[in-house]
Amino acid sequence: MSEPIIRVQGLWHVYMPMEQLALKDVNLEIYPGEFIALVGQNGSGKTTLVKHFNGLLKPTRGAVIVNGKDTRNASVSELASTVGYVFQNPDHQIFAETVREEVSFGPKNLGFDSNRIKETTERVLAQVGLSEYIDEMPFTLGRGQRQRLAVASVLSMEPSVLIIDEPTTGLDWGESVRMMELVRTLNEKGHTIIMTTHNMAIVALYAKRVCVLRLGEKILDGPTSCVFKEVEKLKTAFVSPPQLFRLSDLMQAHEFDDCTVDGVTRYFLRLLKGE
Amino acid sequence: MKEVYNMPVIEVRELSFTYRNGKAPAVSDISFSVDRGEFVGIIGPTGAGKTTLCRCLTGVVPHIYSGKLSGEVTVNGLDVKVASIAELAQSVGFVQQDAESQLLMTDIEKEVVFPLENLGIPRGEMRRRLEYVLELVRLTPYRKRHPFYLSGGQKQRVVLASALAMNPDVLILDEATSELDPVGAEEVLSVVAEINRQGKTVILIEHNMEELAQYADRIIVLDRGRLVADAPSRDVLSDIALLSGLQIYPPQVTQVAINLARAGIQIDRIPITIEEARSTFEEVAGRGLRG
Amino acid sequence: MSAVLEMLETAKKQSPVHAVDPRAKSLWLFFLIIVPIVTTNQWILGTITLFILLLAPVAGIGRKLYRLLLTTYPVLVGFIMLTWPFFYKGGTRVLLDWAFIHVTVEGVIYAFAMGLRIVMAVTACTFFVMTTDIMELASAVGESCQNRFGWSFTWPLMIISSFKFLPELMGDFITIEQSFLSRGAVIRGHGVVHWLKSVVPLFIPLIDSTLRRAQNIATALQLKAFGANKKRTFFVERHMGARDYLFILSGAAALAFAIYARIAGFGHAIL
Repeated sequence: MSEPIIRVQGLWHVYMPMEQLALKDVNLEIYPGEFIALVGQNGSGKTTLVKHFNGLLKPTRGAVIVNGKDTRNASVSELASTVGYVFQNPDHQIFAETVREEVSFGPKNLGFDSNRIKETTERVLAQVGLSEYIDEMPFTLGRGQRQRLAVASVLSMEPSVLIIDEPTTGLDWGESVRMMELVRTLNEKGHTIIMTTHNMAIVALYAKRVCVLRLGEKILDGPTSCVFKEVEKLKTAFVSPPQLFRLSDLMQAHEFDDCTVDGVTRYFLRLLKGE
Repeated sequence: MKEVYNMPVIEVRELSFTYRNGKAPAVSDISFSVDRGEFVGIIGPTGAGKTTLCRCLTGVVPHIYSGKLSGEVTVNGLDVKVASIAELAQSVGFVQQDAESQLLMTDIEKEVVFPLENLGIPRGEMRRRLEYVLELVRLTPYRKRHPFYLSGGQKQRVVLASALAMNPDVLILDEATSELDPVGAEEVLSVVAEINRQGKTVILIEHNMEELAQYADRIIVLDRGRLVADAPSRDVLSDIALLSGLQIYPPQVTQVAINLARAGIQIDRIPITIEEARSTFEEVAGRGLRG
Repeated sequence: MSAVLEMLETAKKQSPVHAVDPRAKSLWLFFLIIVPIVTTNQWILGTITLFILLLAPVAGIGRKLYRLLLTTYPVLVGFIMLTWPFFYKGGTRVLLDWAFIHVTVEGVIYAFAMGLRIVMAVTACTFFVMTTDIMELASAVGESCQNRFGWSFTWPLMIISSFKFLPELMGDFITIEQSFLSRGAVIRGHGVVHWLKSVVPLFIPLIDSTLRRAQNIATALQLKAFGANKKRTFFVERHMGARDYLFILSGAAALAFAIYARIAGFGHAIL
């Protein structure tokens, strides 16, 4: 097995000056190419945890090793070329007059040469489907487009790990799917994806691994379909898995092996028609 | 069973509205009415005109956002074009998406009494209403707290309390839970359901079809400014052809039931909630095991 | 940010002092602020300071106030104590006389009295802020102005709301800064000019989110019927009672005595 790209060892985090305990002895290893969802109620520590991955927060106790580097000895801008962080609200980062300028801000900061900046900017805009808007003002774009612009402006730094905080909040289902298909493509191209979300339908469709946090502690971690079967344990973290997993928990007499719409349909057809 | 009176509290006739800087109408030619005590859901993709419709029902359009309005909107007998927002607010409470910027005061108590102070309501009456709504939204223990220390669900319940303090007959929630975590959303919706049981009319814009299936009696579907469906929740949620065209998906259990029905299995009533699905599927499975 | 919030929370406590009408307390503060301008008599200043410090436990803020003042006093007084003796020209009991430096015992006492002026003013202000809900004050003054002169409640409302939105704006700024840092921006640690240049872009999203908020606030105000009734009512009942007048009186008496001292000729530091 390859080396983990992010290794979290006995991580504790306490916010000063109010001394709120946000993370409690979290251990986690994330391998290159994974697609992992961090879930849990607001205040469970998801965002605190991911902010350690690019050095925005430093451990109170324990350590976070990114690509072999201890984040305590690395600045956020040093880590930015390995770990990209897409914030929840795209309006918290958009400042430039054109889409091109917005996307090239990151690579400029990292000291890429101008040819490389031009090339990556155009490439990532094509990737997120915004090429035609390259000279437009970012504020004229719709919410879903701004969200993808935010992704592009992080992708342009060519990080191998992408952290995406709440990628679908405020988007309707059509826009959410468009956003997530983009994320899936990036994952297939080799990016490690770490996302936080409350939308369990999105998790079920896209994430391969789920990690559940409750009051700063990791309580579940494993392949998505296994974690979602732990309905009772999820309840203690106030996480409600997709409806068919809950139905499976309610109908104990039946064993759905695949808790998707097609899977459950097939199950009943088999039962009724003896197929 | 709650009571729904055959008495329209909201009447919308041939409503069209174009924002001052807008090219196309945000809503066009919409007509419907809502009876006292009903719980109505409104769904549709982004840009369908859901928010504009809510603004028209509360007087925010045309009084704050101006533009070209035609048709009639009456709420509790008040014509929204004529009545002031303050007058309308005593008939319709409006809760919007971003809870934080709807709060203006430094603690919950002040927030709830603020509209009452503005209306010049006597102190004794204010105190009575304050106690009542705080209890209703379950925030009595936090009454002195600064909003900064509240969770999203708590903040949105303060907004709700402040609207309810004016004792409106109708409550409109415009994606009030879309920025909350599931716990926060449930806290808000359970309070709304309770208010509806007490006889208030509720209009809820919501992306989450499972929540709508659980609470709404009836669903109105908008698409690009037009009303494309208006029917009981079960009928709308089982109309896959209509919904999939709008990239809206009914609850998973409903999808399974529809798939089974298409495959020739007899299902008397398409389930829309998980409890309904359990009994439907157990009955269906029983048939299979017998046969 | 957390300091402001903590102050706001302390001001919401319940105690005999917190219950005093905010208008009475602000008059009291007004009188006490003039005292150190009128007099430099260390005994008068010292007595008033001590009185306020003894009142703090009654208001339930003893430990908080003392802890805060213990960190403020040394800085304020230390600076004055260290500089004033060098400028004091009079005095007979010489401590140090070297080149142009001339320090006397009188000079040191004088410096101490000057320090006490600041200490007294700071103590009174801190005590006031910790026991008075600024929102209550704004609301009370707004009520008086409405009833006396028929003024609208707009200004008091703006003051109150700013205390609601300030922490949230700060929070926004921190998030925006973090999102820029994550894109490799280097903001701190390279001098003021660099900092100014790199911090300007941060204000664009901040202004954007503030404008968005402002629009929502305007809507919220109307939905909450602000300005619907010329004569708005007030939830908190305010009657000036014996305790409120006692507070005003104690401030006035302190000021009167300070003025008397000045006229009678013992208003200066007693050496």
